[in-house]
Amino acid sequence: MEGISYQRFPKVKIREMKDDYLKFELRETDASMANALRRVMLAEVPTLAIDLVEIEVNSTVLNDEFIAHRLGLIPLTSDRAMSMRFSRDCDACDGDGQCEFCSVEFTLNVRCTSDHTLDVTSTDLRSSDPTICCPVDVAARATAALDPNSAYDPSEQRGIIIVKLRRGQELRLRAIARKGIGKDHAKWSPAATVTFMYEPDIHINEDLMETLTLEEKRSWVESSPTKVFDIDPNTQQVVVVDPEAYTYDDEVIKKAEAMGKPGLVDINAKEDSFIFTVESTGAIKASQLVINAIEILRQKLDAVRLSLDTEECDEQFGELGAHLRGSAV
Amino acid sequence: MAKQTMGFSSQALQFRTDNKLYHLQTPQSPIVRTAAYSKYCMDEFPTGTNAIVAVLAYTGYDMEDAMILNKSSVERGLFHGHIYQVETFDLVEQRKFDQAFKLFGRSNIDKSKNDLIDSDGLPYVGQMINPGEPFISVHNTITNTTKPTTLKGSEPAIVDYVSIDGTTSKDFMQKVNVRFRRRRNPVIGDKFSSRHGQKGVCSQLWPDIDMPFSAATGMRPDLIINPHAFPSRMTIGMLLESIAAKGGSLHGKFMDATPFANSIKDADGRSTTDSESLVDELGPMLTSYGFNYHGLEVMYSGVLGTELACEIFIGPVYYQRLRHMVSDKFQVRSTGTVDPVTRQPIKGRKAGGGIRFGEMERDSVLAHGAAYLLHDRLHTCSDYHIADVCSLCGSILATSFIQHQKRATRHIGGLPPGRAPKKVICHACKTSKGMETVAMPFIFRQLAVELAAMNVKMTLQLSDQA
Ligand SMILES: [Zn+2]
Ligand SMILES: [Zn+2]
Repeated sequence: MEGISYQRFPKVKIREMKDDYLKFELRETDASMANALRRVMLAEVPTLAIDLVEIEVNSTVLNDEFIAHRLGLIPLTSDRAMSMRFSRDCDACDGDGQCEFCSVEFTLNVRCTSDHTLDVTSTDLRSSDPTICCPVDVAARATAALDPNSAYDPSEQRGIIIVKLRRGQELRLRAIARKGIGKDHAKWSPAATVTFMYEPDIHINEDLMETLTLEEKRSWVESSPTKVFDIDPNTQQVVVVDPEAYTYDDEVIKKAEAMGKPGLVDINAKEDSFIFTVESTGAIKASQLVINAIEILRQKLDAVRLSLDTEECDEQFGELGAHLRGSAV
Repeated sequence: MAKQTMGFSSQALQFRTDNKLYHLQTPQSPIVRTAAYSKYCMDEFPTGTNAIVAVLAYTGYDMEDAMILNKSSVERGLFHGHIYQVETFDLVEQRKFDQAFKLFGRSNIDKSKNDLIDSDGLPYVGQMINPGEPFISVHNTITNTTKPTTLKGSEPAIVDYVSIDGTTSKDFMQKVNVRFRRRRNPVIGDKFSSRHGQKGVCSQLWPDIDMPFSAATGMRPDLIINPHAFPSRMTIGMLLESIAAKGGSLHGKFMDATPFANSIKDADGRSTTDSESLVDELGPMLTSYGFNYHGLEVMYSGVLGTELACEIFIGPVYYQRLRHMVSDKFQVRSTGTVDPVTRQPIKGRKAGGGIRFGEMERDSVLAHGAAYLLHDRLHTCSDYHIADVCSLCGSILATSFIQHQKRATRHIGGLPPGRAPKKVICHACKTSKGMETVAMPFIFRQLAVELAAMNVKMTLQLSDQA
């Protein structure tokens, strides 16, 4: 069957990359793709998080559920999560979720014996295998210790606080971390924030702009709450300094109209260019988060393409179905 | 509204035995506050959370004062809470009824409950008890029996604390308080309110990825309310709180919202605020951080990733969780207990009763002409009854069954005997000739009985015409 191919070849350009922060451009694709990537990053990239807590002793001021909830929200290093199994379909332990293929065990055993308040933090969590999975701040400390040039100062880092103890109080528990996705529970979401914006295309009507006095230009430039435009100190011309600071709030357009100069500036969103900002919780590196998200998106599309139903549902899917199965040649 | 909130009502929760206490797990201090708030140290007893509130009609699930909560926010602990409830067991008090000396203690014979009840007859602290399960047991020294008490209600409870009151009777433990803890995390149907009386009921826990997001910051709201909540109620204060809190959080400071602040004079007789209008004070705070003067933000649909047609008013508002929760209020009945006199379903949520379908509801259904529905509600699902009526004398009370004499059952061809047809006779007419069956509400028979008690005879005239 002959069909039109919707295939495009998106391009990615990385602007800025840190362990927990990534800014990149995604071009030559459309909003559906950009948003799918955002949604997968937020809700479907797997990580590890504490899912089962067995409390042996808890004489702290917080109740058992509160502590279990706080433990669950501690981000754990999850570089291995993609290759691990979900405990519900692990054959090695029959869905028990306690074997090495689908879980990591933690223990915590703290008792306060001094008169000072004792902070129980993520550093007190003992992992059964720290190379696979441990709290992110513990991992950061370990890597910093190996690198003498690192800017990381361990004395500033107190760890993620779980509960505070006073004399005689004790917390003893066993916790199982399992693989999961943000869709099931927010604790498994690896992304703190993922957002994208359409790249703006800004054209200043130079002729009309020159009819303004310097004072008018200045008030027009300042009408934008974000610093998109500025006045060149030498030529006294209005220039675009940072198009991406524009938030599509139309403030400058409204201002131009109020000044009686409509059409002073023309701003359009480029329909096929997106600027992504990704912030990771630390569970996986921001760059790895994007790569994992693309991999998961591909797996999901494969699931549609390989599904036997797709061929039967050709009438429903039409040429899209044929395209998905790759027979559009 | 503070009276109805689930807040942080006490600092010494651990040692208290309040009858019933609502407790918010992770309260926050409000960004926008008044002078009185600080004066009375309300920070020691906070009542809510600073939630990021977007004012828009997003899915239709925010119609008519419903509100949408962000599922991920709730999973991260937003509005999580507990109810603490204390049950007291006083054996001295119980002794007044049966004069039997009792002690707390578990049975040595029946060991099946030993995982719920300790050797002293009291529950284990931290143990989850399901409804109907025993948690405490009392030994009666006279009858030498042990009687456990089971948990009432329909939701599980956790034993939070067990305290023993005094040793009044010769060093024997006679009075015990058991404090239960019930988890009350937000669910659909729970009630929330801002401090401006904008109360609403949670209608959905909406997935984070489907929530609208701000392109500039990537923020998704914790809570969505409908813009129609504002025009008729004119709660401008809530909008101002939102802008003020947004400015306050950007600048990292608390905002003062003391009313009539510009009429308060300081020691020199000057007004304590400089500007004429509050908006002139708040707007520039937002613009200095690159936000819209009026608190609006350009947002994108979380489902489609496209820009929403309107700019959305979004900012932090101090929201309170109110103690009215569906789990305390929901009522459901398919079949169940009926009143012995009227044979109509009983009332009351605890007893598993129904909700009254009263006159006004009846009028409404009548007005719709929904006759079958009316018949179903008021008759079939209520006190449907088939009465035997004697068509000769018209009585429904004089009829009764005849007791069949136990005859030697004859087996015909190995088959069990067919059931003998019920025979009904009219005691007044001494015959079963004119017997008819008529469907009627049981309360009609009750009426006939009550009239008969007053010496009034009621007769029915039966006819075949519809
Ligand atoms: Zn396993
Ligand atoms: Zn009769």
